[in-house]
Amino acid sequence: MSNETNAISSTPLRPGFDFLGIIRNSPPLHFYLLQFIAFSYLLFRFLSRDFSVYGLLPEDAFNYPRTFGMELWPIPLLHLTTFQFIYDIIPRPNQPVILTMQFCVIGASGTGLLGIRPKLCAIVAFAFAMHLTGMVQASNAEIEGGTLALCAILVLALSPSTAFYRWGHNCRLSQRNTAFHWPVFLFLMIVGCFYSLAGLNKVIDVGPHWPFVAHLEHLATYSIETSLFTINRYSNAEVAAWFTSPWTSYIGGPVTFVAELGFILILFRPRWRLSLVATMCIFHGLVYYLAGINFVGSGFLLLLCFDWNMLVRRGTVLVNSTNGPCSDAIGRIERMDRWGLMTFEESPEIDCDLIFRDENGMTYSDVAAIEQIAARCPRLWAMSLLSRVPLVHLLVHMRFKRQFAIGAGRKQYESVDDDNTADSWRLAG
Amino acid sequence: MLSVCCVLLNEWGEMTIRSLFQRIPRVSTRHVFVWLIIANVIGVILPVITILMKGYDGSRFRYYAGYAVFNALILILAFRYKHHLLPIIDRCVEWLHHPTEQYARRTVFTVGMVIFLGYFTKVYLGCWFPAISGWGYEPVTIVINTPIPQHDDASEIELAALNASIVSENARYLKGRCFLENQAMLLHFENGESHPANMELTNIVFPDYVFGAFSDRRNTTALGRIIKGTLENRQNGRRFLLPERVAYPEHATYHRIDYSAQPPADELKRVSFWTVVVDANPDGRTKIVSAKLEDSFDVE
Repeated sequence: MSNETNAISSTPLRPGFDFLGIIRNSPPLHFYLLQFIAFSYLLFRFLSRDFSVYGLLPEDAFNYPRTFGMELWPIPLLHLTTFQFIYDIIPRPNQPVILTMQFCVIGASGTGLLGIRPKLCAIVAFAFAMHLTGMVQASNAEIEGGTLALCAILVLALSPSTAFYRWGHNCRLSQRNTAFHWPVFLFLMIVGCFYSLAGLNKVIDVGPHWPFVAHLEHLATYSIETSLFTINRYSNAEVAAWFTSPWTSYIGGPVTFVAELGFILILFRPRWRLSLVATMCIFHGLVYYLAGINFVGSGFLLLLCFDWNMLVRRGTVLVNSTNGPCSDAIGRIERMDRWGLMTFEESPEIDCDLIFRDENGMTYSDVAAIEQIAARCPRLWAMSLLSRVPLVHLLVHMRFKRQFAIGAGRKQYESVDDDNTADSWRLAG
Repeated sequence: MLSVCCVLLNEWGEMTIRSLFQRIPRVSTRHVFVWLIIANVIGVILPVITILMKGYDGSRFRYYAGYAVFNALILILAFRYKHHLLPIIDRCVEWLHHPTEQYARRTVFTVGMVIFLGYFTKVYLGCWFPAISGWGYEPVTIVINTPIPQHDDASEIELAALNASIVSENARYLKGRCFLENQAMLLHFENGESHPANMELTNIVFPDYVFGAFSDRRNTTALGRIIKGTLENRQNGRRFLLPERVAYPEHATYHRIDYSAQPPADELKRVSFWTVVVDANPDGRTKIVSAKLEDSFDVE
């Protein structure tokens, strides 16, 4: 990766004006995970489903029967974007042709997963997957649970080819480049909008009182009844039995509602990501068990909402040498830093007991610094994960803030969120 | 040769996408504001036209009217608070036109615009749609009260197959003994055996849109061929290319049926659809008390 790019990208437009940290040097780990999971998930989907059945359907089956949302437009625009319009001119493909298209997606996903021409593979996989999805949408379902998978592949198709891990290339995690960061941001933006707009839809379609009129208990009761018949869509009676009280709806509804509406905060409030992602994963699980609608695979992609680069981002730990216990603890932490991601310096001048400064210049103090340090020590990962649970974080913060504050009323640094997307948004204002 | 083609295609692909984004005309704050207004106006006009042309009332009227009102509200707010909105757009545009990393900036900006303008106009793009709608659940039940239908269209073999299609153990989650009316689907084989099945065999998300209601199936030639093909796949323990146990289920997932003990798929002769009434007893035996043949077709 060229130093030139790094130099250019750090040129300020205005002091501090580069909002959301989109253009920023970053380690490649998160992008590599995006590449790996997106290709794997698409491969998994296309190895599990047989699209060739659409080659057996008559022409009149492709008449967009489920147009509840899209019928505003005289022609559904996806007729054009998925290239279904070509069948207005040429005959619809038969089974072998559709099977060939599906194998193109499988081949491209598998090859991209291995890192052989990944960008080209992403373009090919996206084009054919979208076309096959268009057949589903034209004949029976306006969505089929693959939106995020397609978006992830689209992000890969739009990413610079230098960003991918590639077969036969030395893909060092120590390299830094802006090309690793903005595609990840783009993906998070898409996922954030996907869920937040779904929350907004609930306000528009039903009203802000949606959690109190969703009545999941009606669905649960119906699910139990239909679970006796194998012809019906899947529903798990055991799970449904937990939701037959309206109170489960009154409690679960607001949680889902708030998590959906607030999901865009994964861009700005990294500390909330665990709660938001966990809520959505549980939500998808319940939709699967209660209604037999499968969005469960989106959970793989939701894992990409965490800041994986934190595991490889380097940093400096500054310890106030006048605080004895803190200095002692640092010695132990230094031994746990297996990957040598941290350098330790003693500094009596700093205004608080412990400071962590990462390679992007982000500064964390005291409890926030401990969280950062824990994320870089494999033996402390459980602690790092726990600190992301809001209640645990609050309790730890209350407990240790007092302890740190004993340091003679020194100025406390603001506890900054732990990702490089948050800071410059604040500066932008 | 193939490698050269791949390299050329790869370079061409990247160049095409890059040049596509670079050809986007230089947008100004005014452009973005006008796009926003146009999208909102479309978002107001299209639902109103749809309601008027199709004469919707009830839930559909509520659905479309809600979007028209939402867009109208955004439109009013956009003009009312234009002095607040324009500086925000101005910042975005300024960020967009910063000379470094132009490809990244244009890509992020374009995708962002597609998401927001697409939301206002409710555009389905295949790979993106304006998010899942919101709804609530009405009290729906398949419990029937007296008089209980007393159809006996099923032969002894068919009745056994229909009973096999019932998941009796789930009756314990019911609040009490009741009669449930539902559908059933049977596969009939050349050797005279009948076995339960479901529409998961079609590999289609919502098969009723393609094959009609269960009591009046259409496109039965295609349906028969699809069922036969998929049945063979399931009998080999697979869901397309993966083992069924690990494969990713269809978007609309059905109850799992074990087809491995059924006769070979090429002996499939007929498919039938039934309305059945089940005496569901949480504390005792659950059995079919009425079976009415609704539709059937021969498989070619």
